[in-house]
Amino acid sequence: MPQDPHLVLYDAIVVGSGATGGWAAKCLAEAGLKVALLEAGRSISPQEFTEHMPAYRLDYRNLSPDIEKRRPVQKMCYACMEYNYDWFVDDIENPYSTPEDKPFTWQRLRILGGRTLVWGRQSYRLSDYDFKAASFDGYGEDWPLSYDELAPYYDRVERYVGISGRPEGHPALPDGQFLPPMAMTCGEKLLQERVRSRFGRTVTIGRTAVLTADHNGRPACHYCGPCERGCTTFSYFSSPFTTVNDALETGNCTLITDAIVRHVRMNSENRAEGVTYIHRNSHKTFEVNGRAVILCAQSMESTRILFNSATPTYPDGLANSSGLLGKYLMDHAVGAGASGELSDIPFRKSAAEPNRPNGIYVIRFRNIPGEKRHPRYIRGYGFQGGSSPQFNFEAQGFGAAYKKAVVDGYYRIHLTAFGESLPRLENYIELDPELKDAWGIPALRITMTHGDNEQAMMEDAAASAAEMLESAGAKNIVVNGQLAMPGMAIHEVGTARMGKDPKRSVLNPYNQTHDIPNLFVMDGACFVSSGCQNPTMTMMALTARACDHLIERFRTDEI
Amino acid sequence: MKRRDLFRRSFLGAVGAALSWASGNAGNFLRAPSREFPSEYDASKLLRDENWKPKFFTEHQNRLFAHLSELIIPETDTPGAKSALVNRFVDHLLAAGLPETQKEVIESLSYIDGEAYLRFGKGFLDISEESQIEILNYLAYPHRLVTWQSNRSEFAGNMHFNRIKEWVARAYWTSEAGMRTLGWDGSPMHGPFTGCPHPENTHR
Repeated sequence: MPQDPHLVLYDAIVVGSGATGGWAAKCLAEAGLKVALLEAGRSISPQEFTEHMPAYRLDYRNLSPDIEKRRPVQKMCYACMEYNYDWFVDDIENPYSTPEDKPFTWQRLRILGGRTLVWGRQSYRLSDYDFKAASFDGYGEDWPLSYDELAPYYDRVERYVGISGRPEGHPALPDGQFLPPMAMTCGEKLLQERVRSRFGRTVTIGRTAVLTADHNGRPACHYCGPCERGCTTFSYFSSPFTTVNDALETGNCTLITDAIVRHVRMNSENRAEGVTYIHRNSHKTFEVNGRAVILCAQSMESTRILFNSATPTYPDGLANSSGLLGKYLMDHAVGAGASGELSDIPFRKSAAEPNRPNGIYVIRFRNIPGEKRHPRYIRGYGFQGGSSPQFNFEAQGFGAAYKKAVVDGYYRIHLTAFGESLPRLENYIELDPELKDAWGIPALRITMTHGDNEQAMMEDAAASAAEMLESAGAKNIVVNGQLAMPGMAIHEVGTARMGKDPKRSVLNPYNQTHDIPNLFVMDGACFVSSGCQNPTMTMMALTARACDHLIERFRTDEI
Repeated sequence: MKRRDLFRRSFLGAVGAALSWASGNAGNFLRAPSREFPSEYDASKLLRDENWKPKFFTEHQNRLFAHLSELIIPETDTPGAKSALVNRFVDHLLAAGLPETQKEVIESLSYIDGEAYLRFGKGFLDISEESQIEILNYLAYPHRLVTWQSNRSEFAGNMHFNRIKEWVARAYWTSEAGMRTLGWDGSPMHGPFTGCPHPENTHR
């Protein structure tokens, strides 16, 4: 029988099994280190995947009123549905608070693999326009590393994950190690060609962690469509069936599920000696010991663990000598964009057609260094979007004419902006003085609003989306320039930023806390600025880089 | 690669090993069961029960809703809402729904019945189909005051109609008959995605 993990001294404890935790477990276990991988939720089985199950076989055809009752926050996520809602946290058991006038929606999963089970899969690199943005416009701080330092890790992660995409040679969005790109529709080609000739902007196919060729033992996508319900062929990247699987196959990694980490335990020599967790079902308390502790719990959850680990030496939260723990929360500005109709493209819509789980991407074109600066805001945004025939479920009227109008459909085109969220001191998380979760663990209070910069940027995004759709000949254009509630991008980053100066940052450039040599935070908490690109690829590359550094320190016996 | 091989290579074996210490460990660790749908799972079968009775609607509301559903989505070359048992599914959904939602649907059904009484002195089900269509034509489109000014009038009738239509549409387009009307053929596999067939730079 395997050993009781509570009696083992591990080399490393990894908290969280999502995108970054999976990478940490894989890198460290493959380097021969003994790893305990803790996941707050249960395990997951591919038998739960329902991507091929039609809605009519469900109890409530994906309209279940039960979701509203226990998951009113999670329900705001497009991916939370009757098929899979129990992968998402129960909002009653997992509360958080916000100031009344500053709502924030925190959408998250507690299950093996975390949000990689339902993520949007868009995978982009940051560039030096992002890493060195402060040097360019004077706002905030540069990252303590450059694109060149991270590029080899982007390469490594992309080669393993399998990213389909097309190289564009654009300095704002560096190319990567791509599998063949997915195809574009006629409407998208039209937009691409018009936008290139009229505005000099680049429309490219979405770079996505969905395989377009067999790769690392996983087959290519079969274009069934609803990835967020799981993939029985593992054709999109999710950690349980890739990185976590690799870690476990080394024999060096012990997975402990249902382990809700409450705090990091410290010894008297300023070193972390392990973590204390509460078992999700039994509510019993357990300790796991390790020579290094690595938090990959999700940006805000990792910081919450550090707050809950306060000691007399670190009364304001572990590793918080800078006072910046919890500060500079960011989440991309979203909500703005435009949609319309391309009435000149012939088509016949059918539900029996391949369903591409990807869209198009418009590469950032505002405030590019060396070009004209926008007078109203700094930084920039990219668009995700697409153009394809849709059923016209909004058709008016009734009877046979209505029925035909729905089936006949229309050719839709749309662009949705993802804008940079500035790191601002007034956006922060802290422990709520009273609120606790169902396991008695103090819960977070989240204070975040988007600022004038984000609002001005979204107004411009709405206008530029409209002008691009118009250039493609779209009709019935509808725009939105309003910001969505913070959290809606589900790109929360920051709250334990990295930097070279221990007084101005929580982590060093290798995701190691400045204060405690064997304590690491290897998830999105480390972000210094948000860029406008979807963050997961960068998080995974940073984790791989930080693990290389940690492995080297183990070799030289510095841990 | 066969799907079966994928499952074998998947982590299940490894996780099983990793967890076995726990199951042998005084049984403290109850693993919450995962939520799996057996391959033959099909909740729509329950709607076809020959002894079916409404759980939420009254008999009258059920008949009215079923009749309205067929007027909104009639049988054409494909099945209509009635044979797709849209009323039965909506009854099932509303029975589990929130009280506010239930109240809204009843209000809108009553509104439509009330319009028939106002005009013809009888309930909607008791007037001729011609009169029924006349009422629905009046309710089915947004109303706007047409003058040289751009005043807009809010018309409750359109809201009530749309509410009923929305429930009918949700239930129909997610039914097997509705999905097949949209061209679904029962197979999830229609790849690869080939996209635009035209040469580069021909969309200028």
